[in-house]
Amino acid sequence: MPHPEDSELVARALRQDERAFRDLIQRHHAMAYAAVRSVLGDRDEVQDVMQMVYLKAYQGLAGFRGDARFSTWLYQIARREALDVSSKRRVETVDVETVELAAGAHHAADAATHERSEREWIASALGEIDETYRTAIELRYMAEKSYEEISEIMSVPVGTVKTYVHRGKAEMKRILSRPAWRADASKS
Amino acid sequence: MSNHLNQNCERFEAMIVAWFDADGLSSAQRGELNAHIPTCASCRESFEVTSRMEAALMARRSDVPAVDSFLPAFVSAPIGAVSHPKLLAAFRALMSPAGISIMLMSWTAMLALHFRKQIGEVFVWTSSDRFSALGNDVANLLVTISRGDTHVLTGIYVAVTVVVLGSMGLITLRYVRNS
Repeated sequence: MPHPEDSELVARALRQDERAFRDLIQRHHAMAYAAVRSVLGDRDEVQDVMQMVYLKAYQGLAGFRGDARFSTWLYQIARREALDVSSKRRVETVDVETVELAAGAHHAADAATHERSEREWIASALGEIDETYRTAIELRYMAEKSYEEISEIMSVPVGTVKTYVHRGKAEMKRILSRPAWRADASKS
Repeated sequence: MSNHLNQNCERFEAMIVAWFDADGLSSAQRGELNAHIPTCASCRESFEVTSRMEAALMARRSDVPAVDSFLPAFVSAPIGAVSHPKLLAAFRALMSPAGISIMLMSWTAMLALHFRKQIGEVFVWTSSDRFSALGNDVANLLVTISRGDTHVLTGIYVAVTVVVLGSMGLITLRYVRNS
């Protein structure tokens, strides 16, 4: 059975088809989650923000005119909600980032640092790169989107998306090439 | 790491990042990199770091939790209301504390108007005459509006009662659903 288009699911959802709305969200869940994570990292607020994103999408579905793709519309909601929460917690964020940057700058390969898993190091490196690059990378890997899909979601040309991903990864690699991570990576 | 790299390696450095993209490098560039890596310790190490990074990025897909935990009970609420923004806005205004207060006051006023004589008799210590006179004024106003037609007058009473009772029903329904 062919998968229905997003526009068809939206129309069905507006006709009180609860299943259609669930299918719609299920289809774009990884993308929305990646968008929120690219702003908030793995902070506790992610769960609340995701619920708020879907609530806003549900409430605003009637206002979705179909000028843009549903994925782009949902991405904008997700990003707006995440940025809203992020700006409220900016003071705490700056503190955390300052600590991480300071640790990286001094190559502090202490015992606690060595115990960090590779996944945590990746998350840490992602947290240090430019937010636009991070968003493109999260959409590419966490949401498993193609460059074309990311281009539509972020409303930028495909070539720009490729540049974002490439530069982001190059930047991450530079961060991950610090002695602390390499020592840790060689252990695991 | 860049300290260890010569100018040639810096060129390969950019190619190593692009290596893991399906269409990141041409076949000629891939061949060139393939030939270089075995001969250069720095680039081998760089390739190793990039490879681990790529694998860790790939693993991030599994970090995405199931969607169900993010779809609370609101999904079972009637979407029909949501599909009519103006109706929804009116409904929300009606359900606000101010809206509820106005409805309750209206209902109380209607009851007071209907039972004005009895109320006036009970509260004899107040100015029952004035109270009764006010009730009569409103009643007369309704009679004027209805042009003395008892059917129209009854219709006004019924309409107000239906709106008030309907609103009370919706309020009850809303709190039952929320609970």
